[in-house]
Amino acid sequence: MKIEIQQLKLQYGKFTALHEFDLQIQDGESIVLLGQSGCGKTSAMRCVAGLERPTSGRIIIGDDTVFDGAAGVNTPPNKRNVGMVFQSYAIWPHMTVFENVAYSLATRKIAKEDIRKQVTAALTTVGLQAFAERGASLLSGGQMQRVALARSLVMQPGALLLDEPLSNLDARLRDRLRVELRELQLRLGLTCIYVTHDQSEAFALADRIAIMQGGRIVQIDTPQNIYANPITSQIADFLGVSNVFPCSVTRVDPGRHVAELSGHALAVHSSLPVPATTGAMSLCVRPESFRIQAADPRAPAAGDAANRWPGKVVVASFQGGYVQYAIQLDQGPEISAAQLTSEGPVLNSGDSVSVSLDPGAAQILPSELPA
Amino acid sequence: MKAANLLRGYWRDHAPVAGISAVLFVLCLIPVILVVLASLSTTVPRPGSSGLGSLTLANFASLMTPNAANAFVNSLSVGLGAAVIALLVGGSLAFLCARTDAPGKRFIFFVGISPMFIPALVGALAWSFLASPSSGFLNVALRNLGLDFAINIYSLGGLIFVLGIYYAPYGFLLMRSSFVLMSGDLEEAAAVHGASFARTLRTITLPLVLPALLGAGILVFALAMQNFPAAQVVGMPGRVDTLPTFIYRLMSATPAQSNQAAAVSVILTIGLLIFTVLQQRVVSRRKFTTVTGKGAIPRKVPLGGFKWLIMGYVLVYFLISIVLPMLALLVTAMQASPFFTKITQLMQPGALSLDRLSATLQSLDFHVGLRNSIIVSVLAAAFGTLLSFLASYIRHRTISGCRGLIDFIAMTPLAIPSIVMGMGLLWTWLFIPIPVYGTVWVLVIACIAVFFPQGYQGISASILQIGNDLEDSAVLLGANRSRAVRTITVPLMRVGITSTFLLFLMMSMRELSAVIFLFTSDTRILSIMVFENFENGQIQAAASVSVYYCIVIACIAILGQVLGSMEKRRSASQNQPHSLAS
Repeated sequence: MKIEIQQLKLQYGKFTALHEFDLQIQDGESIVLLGQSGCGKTSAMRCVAGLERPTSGRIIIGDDTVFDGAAGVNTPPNKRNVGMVFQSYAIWPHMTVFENVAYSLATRKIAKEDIRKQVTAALTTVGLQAFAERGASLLSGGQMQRVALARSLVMQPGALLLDEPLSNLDARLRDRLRVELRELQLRLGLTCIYVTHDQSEAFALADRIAIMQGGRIVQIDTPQNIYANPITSQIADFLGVSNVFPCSVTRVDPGRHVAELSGHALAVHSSLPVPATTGAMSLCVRPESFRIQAADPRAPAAGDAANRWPGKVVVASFQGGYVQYAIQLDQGPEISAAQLTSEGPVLNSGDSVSVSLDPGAAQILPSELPA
Repeated sequence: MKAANLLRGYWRDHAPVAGISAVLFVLCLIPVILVVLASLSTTVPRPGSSGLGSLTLANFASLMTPNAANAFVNSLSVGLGAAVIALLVGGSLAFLCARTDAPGKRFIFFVGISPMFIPALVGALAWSFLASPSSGFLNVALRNLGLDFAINIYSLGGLIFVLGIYYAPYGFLLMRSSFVLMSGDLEEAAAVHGASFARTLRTITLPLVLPALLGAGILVFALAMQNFPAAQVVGMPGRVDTLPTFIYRLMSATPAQSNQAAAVSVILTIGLLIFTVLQQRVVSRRKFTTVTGKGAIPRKVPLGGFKWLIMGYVLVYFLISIVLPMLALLVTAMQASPFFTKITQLMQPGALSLDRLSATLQSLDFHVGLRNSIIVSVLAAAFGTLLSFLASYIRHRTISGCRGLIDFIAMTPLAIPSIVMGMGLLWTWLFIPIPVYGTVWVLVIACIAVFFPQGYQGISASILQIGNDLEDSAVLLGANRSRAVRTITVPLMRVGITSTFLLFLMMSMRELSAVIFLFTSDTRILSIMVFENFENGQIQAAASVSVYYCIVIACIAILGQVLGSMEKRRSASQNQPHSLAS
């Protein structure tokens, strides 16, 4: 079901957790609220569930207005038909897996036989049909996560809310369940709101990502667009762009800008469009955009001559498929760079290198949104 | 429409907190307020008169006498002395039980906690049979042996001794959990960095258990200082007056000097308040320092050749805290004649008989007392647990800004001596136009009020342990709030709720001080019967009722044990894989 959140405001005493929060979610769409802890993402989700009472605003799920501050409408959580997977999973340890999943059906007074059928179907969906009679306190983290999912799915919720559901799992399991979750959401056509602080989780699960800061959505777009065009350097930083340097910008040609790094005698050319703003600017470069070569005067220079600088390797860390470098530029800052192992020999710390950058990969962005 | 909705929202947020605060205010705070008022007045609060008309400090001024000063000093000495004994005995048993290779750990644990089940009233009574200077069994035996030496339990030292050995279990329990929960890693780290075992003990272990030690010490101090029954039974015959016995004497004088009693109560309460606040500080600080509950199991100290000496020490404590007192009660209840000069007289045929014990069992008074005791403690346990749950749930699961108020009101009785609380409750329920005075309900109310802090703390710990998500997810899955509480929260809190129920049951069964001013001739409970018999000089009747009283208390203790081990088995079976096939 579609969800509409209008002008939602949530205050705890003097602290405002959500400022005029607006969000439209289409039926069957998966929205990820992405942000650092304290940005209001979990509060927003709990408002939709009915676990928090917003100060003002309106929430509409499907055709029902479940919250309207002005009209004093506030549907209790048990009447909203919204499923939620908690960060702690909240699996009831005094019940079996079956009893956990059957809970919502039992409150609706459905025939025993139907309950059995529906629970079995839900457990099959998450691949736990063999565990029905097991005590819930005996499950592993991954199994608990699936029980929590089955428990919500069995009530055929209008929307499914997931609060960092993968954060308690180990890395390998997280990767697998991420794919499974997305597959399930697409197959069942679920409307999902998903809360996380992990950008790769957000990329994998979202139709659209809403990036939140200080109780507001600062950017909302598809994962691809957000990855390619973050609107501030702060967002870029959060999305894993590890080279962010304050700079001043001058336009040299149509479609060509030069960024002078603050505090360094180093200029970087960019062929990307630069948003017009009066605030502070920063240069943002992904680690994999740098090209690293051993400094060899005889070797042919690669790339744009304007964006080439000498430097020294500080740390080289071999990661298998790629090598992670920290490189001190002779006239500039220390940068973080990554190079595929297949692209050249692994350099050692202390080696002199030549670092180059395609002007098409140097983003110049406002540091922060104008308030 | 809009205004009505907003009003309803406001009401829903704050009504539960306001409601429970009001109930707790009547239960726990009004008695205190009335005592304070009475201490500043020349009249006692009664319907139609709060006593506010005649404010005066004369009650306090009249206490500037050597007698009052003496009672005050005695109370402090009793508190201090009992705390030292309780810490030495309890602490050493805890160390033996938790950190050495002593044989029979289960026995040491049993010895460590079992004196807790003997009410101070009964313990003091039994020790007066054992060591009263003229006719105590021990003193008769010493005389028979030709020794010119008598133990006088009717003395300050005797009172300190009795309270010390019966409050030692508090020291034992608190210190033991601190020893057990302490991470072995911390000690191993000291060993790795070159400390000897003795040095580790001194520089790591001791500082880590120090908060528990202090906490237990202050707790015993507070309990002993406000203890009324033991002070009355072994202190008064030796003219050792303490503040609680002073209050009792003023209240039962004719005419009752209630306003002076209230003034003494205020002084005693202020003293207790200081130590309670101190104790709570120490205990809450402990949370951040020692206990981790993880890591290696602490090393055990080998006792080597001292093993049997130490077991002897454990046995001696068991003998003086349980075996001898129980024997003394039994023999006193069975003695055909209370007069004897030789211990061997007790061995002669006809010297002991079951007549009195069976007569007690058949007497109407005893039946009424037993029935009242059971009614009072079961009702206090049921309503006390329910009220603790409501207060704690509202405190921890609602958003109203004033919910901190609940903590404050609920914990107040902790700093009020039971006997003072009893006095305040007397005036409160004479004052409030609900006719409970003269019925068992006023005793139920007294027991709930006096033990509410413990019940509230127990339930709160249990509620905090299970977190909000478990209940919230039931609500999201379609259950309404009360169904979610019933099917999820309460079952998960089963252990906490059961133990709070048992705590109220046990404490109410043992209580004397809080109900001493509240009972009437139809609402005597067992503790009152023992006390009255003793006060009237019917020593053997007191002993006889005490025997049954101890049996009832033992039954509750055993019930607790059985429920506890059932719970253990249940959770163990829940954690067994149900099917190995998959």
